[in-house]
Amino acid sequence: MIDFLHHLFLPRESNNHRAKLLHHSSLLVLIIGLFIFGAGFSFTASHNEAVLGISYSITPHELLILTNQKRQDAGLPPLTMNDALTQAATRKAQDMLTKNYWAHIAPDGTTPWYFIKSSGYEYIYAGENLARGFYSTGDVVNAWMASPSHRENVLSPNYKDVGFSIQEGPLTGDETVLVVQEFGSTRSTTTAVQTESAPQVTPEVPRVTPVVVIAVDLPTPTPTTLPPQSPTPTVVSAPMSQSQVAAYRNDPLINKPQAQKSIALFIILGLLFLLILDIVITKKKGITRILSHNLDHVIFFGILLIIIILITKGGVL
Amino acid sequence: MIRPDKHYLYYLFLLVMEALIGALIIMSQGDRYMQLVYGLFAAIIYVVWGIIHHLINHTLHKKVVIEYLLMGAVGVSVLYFFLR
Repeated sequence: MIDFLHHLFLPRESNNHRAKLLHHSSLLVLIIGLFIFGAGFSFTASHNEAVLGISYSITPHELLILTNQKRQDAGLPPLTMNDALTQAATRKAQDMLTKNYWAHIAPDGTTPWYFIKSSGYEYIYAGENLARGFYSTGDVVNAWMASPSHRENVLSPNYKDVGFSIQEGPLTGDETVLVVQEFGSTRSTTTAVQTESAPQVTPEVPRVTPVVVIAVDLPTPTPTTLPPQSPTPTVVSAPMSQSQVAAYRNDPLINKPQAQKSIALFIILGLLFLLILDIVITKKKGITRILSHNLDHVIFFGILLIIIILITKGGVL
Repeated sequence: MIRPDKHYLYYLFLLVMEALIGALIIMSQGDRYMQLVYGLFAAIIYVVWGIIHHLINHTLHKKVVIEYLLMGAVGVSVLYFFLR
């Protein structure tokens, strides 16, 4: 047994002075195995979410607390959770999942303002932040705060109300957790602000910037083409405690993103270990081979290791 | 043949190139398609660079090319598995 392990891991005569796991045949098996295993992984994830799915801990209540904490740190008044904005956020999230788009404006031209207005919120100022692929409330809010335009929304003195929606589902080919944050203020809540602040301009590139502010006298602008109103979805209308939210969601047996990361790291670290071991032993024994430079491979997999450690699948819009 | 002290410049070049592409992958968060494209690009650079390095060093053999291709494919496969 030990002899076999040596054959697998250490360069010696039996494996032509190259660890068997680094032979071309082993690498080919690894590549094919990864594709087959990956396909099975995705199949299980899409057919049995109770076993393999996304485990996340993002709640509207935590989002409100963290958002208000950031505002408080900036000396701003806290936002109030608003039922209509929560409903607008939920409808926006469901619209994105149904129509499969990741943008502020739907492919059919539906703007965020449509969801806000049709939910019964007569805004003077309104804005929207989106996030996907994050698994904790802190990561979502930190990502928004790291982006200047999203941060501007979070820390805008023009907003008084906020609504959140967290939805899980397939979006643009990726099973993800989608977070929608709708900001707003009505005439009654912004009288003081209106007299003080100049109207802000809607960003020119809505693709990469959160839609920010519309500041006009009533009547507020309405979309020229309104899609048929979808049935009102069930909404989370009040802050819930962590335990309440947890009760609504069944965490899967295996957390897919975590499992993917662990397996990827295991493979990369294993290869790096074998390559470095190979460098040390061949140098020590003075073995000469017609092979590529191990240091090249170490650099390549070293960078890949750093990428997989640092990469997040999350994005904000 | 590359002088031994010049080898480090080649390795440094590879390191810088791969690090730059790695930064692009990390910065493309949320865009899985672009991350995969950059990953593929990183693997191609690595294979081409490896071949050129061996060519200059007069140590280019079929086995060497196959090894670079396989290592590059392993890297892309792991990235694809992680991002899928």
